Amino acid sequence: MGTLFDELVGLLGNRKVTCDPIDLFPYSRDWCPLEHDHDFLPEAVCLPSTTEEVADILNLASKRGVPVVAWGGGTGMGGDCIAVDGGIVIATRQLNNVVELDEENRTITVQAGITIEDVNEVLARYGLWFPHDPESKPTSTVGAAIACDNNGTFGLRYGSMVDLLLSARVVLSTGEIIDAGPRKAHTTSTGYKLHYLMLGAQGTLGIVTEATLAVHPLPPSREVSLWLLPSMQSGIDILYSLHRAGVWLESAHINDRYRLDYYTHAYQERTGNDVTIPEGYQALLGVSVAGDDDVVAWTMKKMGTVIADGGGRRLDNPELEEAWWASKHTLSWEKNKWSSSQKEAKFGAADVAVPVGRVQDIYDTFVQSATSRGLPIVGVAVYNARPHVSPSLSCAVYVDDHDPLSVFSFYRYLDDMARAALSMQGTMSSYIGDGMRLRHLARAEHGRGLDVMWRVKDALDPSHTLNPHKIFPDDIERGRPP
Amino acid sequence: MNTYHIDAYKGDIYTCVRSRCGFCFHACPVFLSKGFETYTSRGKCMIMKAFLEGKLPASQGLADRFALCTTCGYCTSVCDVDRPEIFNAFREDLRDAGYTIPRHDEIKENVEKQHSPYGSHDESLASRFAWKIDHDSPLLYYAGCTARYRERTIAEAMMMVLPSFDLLEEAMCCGSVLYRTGYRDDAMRQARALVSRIERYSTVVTTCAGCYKTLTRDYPAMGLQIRPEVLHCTQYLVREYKGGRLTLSPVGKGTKVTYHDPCHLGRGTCEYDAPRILLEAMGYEVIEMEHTREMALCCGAGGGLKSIDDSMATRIGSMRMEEAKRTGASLLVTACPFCVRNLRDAGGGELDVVDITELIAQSARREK
Repeated sequence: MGTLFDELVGLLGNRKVTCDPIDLFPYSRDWCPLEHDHDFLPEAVCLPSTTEEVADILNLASKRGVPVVAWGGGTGMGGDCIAVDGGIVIATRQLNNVVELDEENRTITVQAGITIEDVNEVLARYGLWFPHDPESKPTSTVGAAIACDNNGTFGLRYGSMVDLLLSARVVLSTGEIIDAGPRKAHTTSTGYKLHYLMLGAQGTLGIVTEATLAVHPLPPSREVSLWLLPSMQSGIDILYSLHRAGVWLESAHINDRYRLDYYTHAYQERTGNDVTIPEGYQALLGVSVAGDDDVVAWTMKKMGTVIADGGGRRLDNPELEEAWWASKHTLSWEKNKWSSSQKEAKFGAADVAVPVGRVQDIYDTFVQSATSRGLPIVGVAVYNARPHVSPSLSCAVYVDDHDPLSVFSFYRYLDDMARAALSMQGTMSSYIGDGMRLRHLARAEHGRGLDVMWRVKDALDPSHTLNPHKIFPDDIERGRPP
Repeated sequence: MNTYHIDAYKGDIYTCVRSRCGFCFHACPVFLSKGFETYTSRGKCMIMKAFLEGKLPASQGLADRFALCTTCGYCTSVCDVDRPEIFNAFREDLRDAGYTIPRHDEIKENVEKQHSPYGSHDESLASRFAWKIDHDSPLLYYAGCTARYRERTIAEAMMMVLPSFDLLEEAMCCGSVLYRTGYRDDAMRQARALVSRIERYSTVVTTCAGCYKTLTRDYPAMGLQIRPEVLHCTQYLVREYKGGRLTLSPVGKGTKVTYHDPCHLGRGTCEYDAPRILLEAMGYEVIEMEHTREMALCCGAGGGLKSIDDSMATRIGSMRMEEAKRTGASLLVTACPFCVRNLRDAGGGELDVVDITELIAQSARREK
């Protein structure tokens, strides 16, 4: 048996493989909060450009007993793509072709390493778009969006990956290549929906190399507005009122008072203008409506009435609205640069989801836990992950990555939030995934279902090659050696 | 304890490690060509972090990898951190540790001995336009080395358009290439020499985007003040045009062109409008590419990349050419001799690439 490097070069050629530590460091962490000098180095990074090359790598890795981790944009927030056990990182960014754009059927088939932004650059030429729109879209790949099952800005109208993924080509650790899902149909009642099994599986069951996605017409017109609300929960009530009234929003985000202050402070710093928030308002609703001009105008009017009836009022500040929207969608760089928000400390987020009636309760837990753990609060943003009211919370704090105690406290805070969400009949993660940060609580989340999940893992990845130490706690991984 | 030039940028490096957005990847020309994150701005910050934490020693491997950057500044346009500045500093650290790029060493020697990165040169730039040269003129035409020694039609077009002007008879590189390849001390020497030569003029006009950025942005950052006003040729020509001293005939009427923003002129100095104003004044219909202005793709030539890996530089250039072709334009116009050179190498056969001065020369009529 040759060295791992030699064998990989034999498969891919030497321009697509590296074992040089210089090249490995860029793949040593993702976005999840770690102490500043904490790195996880893989042993090799490969750049396959075809499904067959991925299959060859997996074949080789399972024979050699080397772990394999798939890597998209490296912006995951839970350590999903970190090579905790070393092994091979399959960097997917050269799997970046559009395989087929089917205008008539409103689908696009792409290789999984293409970024969401690149997909949309192509679609825009045809008046179409792929509306799964996480803020990381310039870097986030389609494959990673499937593997993390994350949320996006427009979930309220278009849903997330589960609503847009029609089918996927998947490579199993055995090297088998399967096509899962109903091709270009939007629904099927046949067999097991193996393509959905890949959603949120974090590359532990197979590596998606190609995906067929539903695409939508680009809306001709859009209006964005911000509304002050008396409370977080009133935001949920208002969204239900709008739903009952038949108002079809494109996106809706409820932000807490901390976020509101964050946005207004950033605005004041940039423009020198004051923003006065009247007494009694504790939350901010950001909304976009889209469609033909007359529909947008009517929706804005009707929405204003419903929101006012729910105790809200317009925060009429076009610059602030534009800046907020830049942070959510346009990513207009002169308005908003992500790095400027993290010069001193890093964001860290708990991403729980709770039943619609418990948003205020989990918010109160957030403030209490973050404060007692000594973590400065960034604030809460409530996304809607699926069509209709479907809260997915980003509960963010600052983590000082040069202070081990701060990093430690962050993970205790995550535990607090996870346990609280479970006690409220919610879930500990709604868009980041378990990664390596929540797997010790997997039993509390899934109960005996976790054992069934392990059997599924065992069946699809019998050599346990794919992304070890994710999702499953150590006792399960150790208890059933390959 | 060792100290490094990048110590000054430690905060920026850790800001990148923290924020980790990777937005710098999207149009990073070398990343798009090579595929490994090593070549992205975020990847480089991860590498420099490992270096600062003592996990990676200085090595030739580091020098080779950090040399592969066009310093186009796309990464900076989507980030608060000035990435090329940090990379220049790290190139310098690696050079101090004895790890250099042989081709860049040669260029440095060329500049040192002959004041031009291209080395020997014999033909005088002034020969065809000697009648226009006035050594007492307050206006200096500073062609830049590429227009002077490699893309002479650009320099000649500009000289045709200018009123009487003065010219530096001998080569005098601005030091841009040294500054961007880790020879910042040498760049400073070269800069001082040039500053003393141009002090007496009121206005310096250059046809080179790189020289323009170096004189107007990098010199002040190096602590050098320049007395004369320095203008890129497009800025100068717009001023002349608006002031009624230059008439532009509509030679471009009915012709669709697309405009490539040179990195040093666009992102480097925020001059996006002057070239477009001139094109429209000549009657051309400007069709924008998908990536334009501050989001423009790089041509692939800068940062010393073309000198050490011409095939990569042209590969990058061909991505830009593909984008240009998709506009349906019949001409790709830019405003930098080095961009012209690389884009022509990358696929000029299929779509003509011209410098804006060459179009101006066909259109301009100077009012007395």
